[in-house]
Amino acid sequence: MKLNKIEMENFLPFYGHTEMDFSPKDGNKIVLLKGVNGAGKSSTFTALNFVFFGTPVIVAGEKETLDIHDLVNTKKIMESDGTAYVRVHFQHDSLQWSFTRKINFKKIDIEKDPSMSNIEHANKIRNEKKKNVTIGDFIAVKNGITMPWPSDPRLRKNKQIEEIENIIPKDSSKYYFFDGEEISKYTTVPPKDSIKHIIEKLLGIRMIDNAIKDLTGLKEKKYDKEIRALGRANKQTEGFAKTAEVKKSIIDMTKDSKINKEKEKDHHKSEILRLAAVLDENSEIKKKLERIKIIDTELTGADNAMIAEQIGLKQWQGKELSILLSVQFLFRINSKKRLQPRRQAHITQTAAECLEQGECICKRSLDEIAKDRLKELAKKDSNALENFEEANSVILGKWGVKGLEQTWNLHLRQIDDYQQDIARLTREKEELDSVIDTASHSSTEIDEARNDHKTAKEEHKRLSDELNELDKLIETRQLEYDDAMNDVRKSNVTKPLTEFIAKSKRCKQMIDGFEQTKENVVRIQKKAIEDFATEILQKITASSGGDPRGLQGFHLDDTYTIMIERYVGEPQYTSDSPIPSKGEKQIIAMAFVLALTKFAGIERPIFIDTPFARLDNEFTLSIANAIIEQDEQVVILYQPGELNHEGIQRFRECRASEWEFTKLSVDNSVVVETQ
Amino acid sequence: MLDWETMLGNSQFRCNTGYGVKSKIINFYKAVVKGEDATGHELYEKYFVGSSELFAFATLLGYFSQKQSNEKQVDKFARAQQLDQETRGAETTSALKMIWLEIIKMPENENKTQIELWTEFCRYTDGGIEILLEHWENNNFKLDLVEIYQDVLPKMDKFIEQLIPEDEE
Repeated sequence: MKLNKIEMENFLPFYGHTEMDFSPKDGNKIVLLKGVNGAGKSSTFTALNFVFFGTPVIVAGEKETLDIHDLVNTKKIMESDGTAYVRVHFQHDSLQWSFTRKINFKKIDIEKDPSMSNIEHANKIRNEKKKNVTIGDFIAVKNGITMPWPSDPRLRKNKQIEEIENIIPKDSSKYYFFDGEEISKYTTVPPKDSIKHIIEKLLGIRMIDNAIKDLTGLKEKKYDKEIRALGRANKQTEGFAKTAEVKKSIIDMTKDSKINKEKEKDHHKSEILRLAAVLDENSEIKKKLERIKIIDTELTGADNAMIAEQIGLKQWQGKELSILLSVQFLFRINSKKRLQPRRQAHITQTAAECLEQGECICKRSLDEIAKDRLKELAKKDSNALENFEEANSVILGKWGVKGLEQTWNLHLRQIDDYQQDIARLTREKEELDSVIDTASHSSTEIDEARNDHKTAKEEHKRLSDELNELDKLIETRQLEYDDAMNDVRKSNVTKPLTEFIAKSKRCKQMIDGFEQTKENVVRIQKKAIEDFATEILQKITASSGGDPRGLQGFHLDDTYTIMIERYVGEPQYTSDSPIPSKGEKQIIAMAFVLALTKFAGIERPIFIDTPFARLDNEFTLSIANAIIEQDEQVVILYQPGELNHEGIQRFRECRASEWEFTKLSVDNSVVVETQ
Repeated sequence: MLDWETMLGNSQFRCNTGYGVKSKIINFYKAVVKGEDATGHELYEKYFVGSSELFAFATLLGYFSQKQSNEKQVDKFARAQQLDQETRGAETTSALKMIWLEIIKMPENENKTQIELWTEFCRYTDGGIEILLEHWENNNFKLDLVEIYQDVLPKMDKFIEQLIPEDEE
């Protein structure tokens, strides 16, 4: 960044409009601001701080801050309403910029009370200014184009700060705009400000810082914030989960209870079945005994019937077997054709005899049909004889061979049926006896079984009822559990929480990585700074004609505390004996600052207020040369009394411009460029 | 020659047997017929209501088995009239009559007197008694008349086949 021009209107002691051109001329970049104390040199410094960073403005080595109402020119505000502003024109990264920061004010009307002291009057004015001053716009113009800001005040402010920080970080500003008398503070042990921090701020690690800042912002403002919010939600989820867990345990307990009751119920059921079997068995035994009685009766009946049948069969056999044999014989004989004539003769004769006697050979009476048939049969050549079966039946009467056999077989079958009945009944009786023998229970056992069976049935019913109730209870509790789990699912933030924690962790890792990188960069630059500061120190001491003070080397220890090397020897802290004088400390600090700015990654103007305070004249030239050799834009603020210093004269030889501040009154300073 | 019915009514013709009361072997009629004097035979089961029933059955059995006994017919226990149809039933009488008619027509009996022919008839009867006796003795002194009946049927078939060969039909 190079300053081209600064404009101030109604700002601090500058009544009306004041502007100064800081542009380099003929390759010279030194700008000299001359004026007595209170003429307004430092107000320029304040104006730059204000335009870049707003209020409150830190001035005078952080010992004092100025609020917005302090910045408005008092003479002007007492005259009329108006605007105060500071506008700075500068070049940065090959772009032309201007920043304007305004303060709006309304006229204050205060007459000086003769009874008031000047201090009281000044305080009264100050209080009035507070009431009538408001911050105005901040306008940034890049290459002639005014930058748009968001309408939302907060977003607008953030955006403005972001733009400014990209150009000149607020934290590092004090290392560019510094008081010559104040820089010696770097030499204190330990240093007032962390030199490590200073190096970090000024060296070319802004990108790293930005990355760290962005990552830190992302981590803290987004991820950590989300984590905290989700953490709270997660606690709620945990609460829901705990509720669900309790409900689940209740369900489990109820289910356990159900299982136990089901086991008990099953036990009773098996008891019921067992006892029922005992009772059934008893009942069956009774039935079986009844059945045995019936079987006995049936057996007796079957035995008797069979005996009767056998007797009957025997009687029949004795009487009828002859008939049966005869019939079989006749049947077979009659089936032989050769015997037909004899058979026919026999039949014819028999038929005639039957007709004569009026009855069948079986002694049955002949009806008209039978008579007709017999008449036919009685004829020797009767066609009726062709039908042997008919003829045979006529001869044999009711007894056909089949009839006989059927009668006989009927007896046999009857006997066989009785035998089978007897066998079946006997078998059944044996089986029943066997069952009765093996499954008998005493009457006491049966009574007990009956009672136990009743009790078991009652218990079974009771448990069934209880189980039904338990089922309903489980169903209800399951619904409650489902509701609780739904709450858990709805509120479950575990996944996003885990993701944000992971993201935050990754951010932290990246931040740590960048910090490490920065650490490495600083460590490397530290050596370069030490070497260059040593070189400046040696130049200063050499140009002052020898080695009067013995400042030969500049070191930074592990804690980045400045150490010096006198003559040839070990590095010592500035608090070690021999303690450096104030002048020496300023030289050391100047060497350090110049080394810092040399190795700074970005070019920025340096403001040095009263650079040679406390310095012996013999060193001012060498310091001035060192500064000039830096080839940076340097704004030197000095007092007319310093003109005797060779250093100032050296600056004037190499100046781009020189501006003289004149205090016309308390509220009115003027600036003119001197030739 | 007396016809069958006339012969049965003639008192000369009686139920002759070698296994009756005068038998030197056994009074089989006493053993198996009910109501007879069963002294010494009380333990035997009875199968026939009268001796004429046994006589008729034995005749059929002997004839169908073509078995004639050579035992002397020393006992004439009843008149042949007992075999008529009023007593025995039409079927048995018819069969016995046919047997008689077959016997008298046999060529070897052509020249025999009627009483000789009747003796031939009764030889068949004792033949049947011998079959029953053998069965009785072999069957623990019991008669399985059903088995006997079933045994005689194939013999009957065989006899009829011999009597009237198929190729003569």
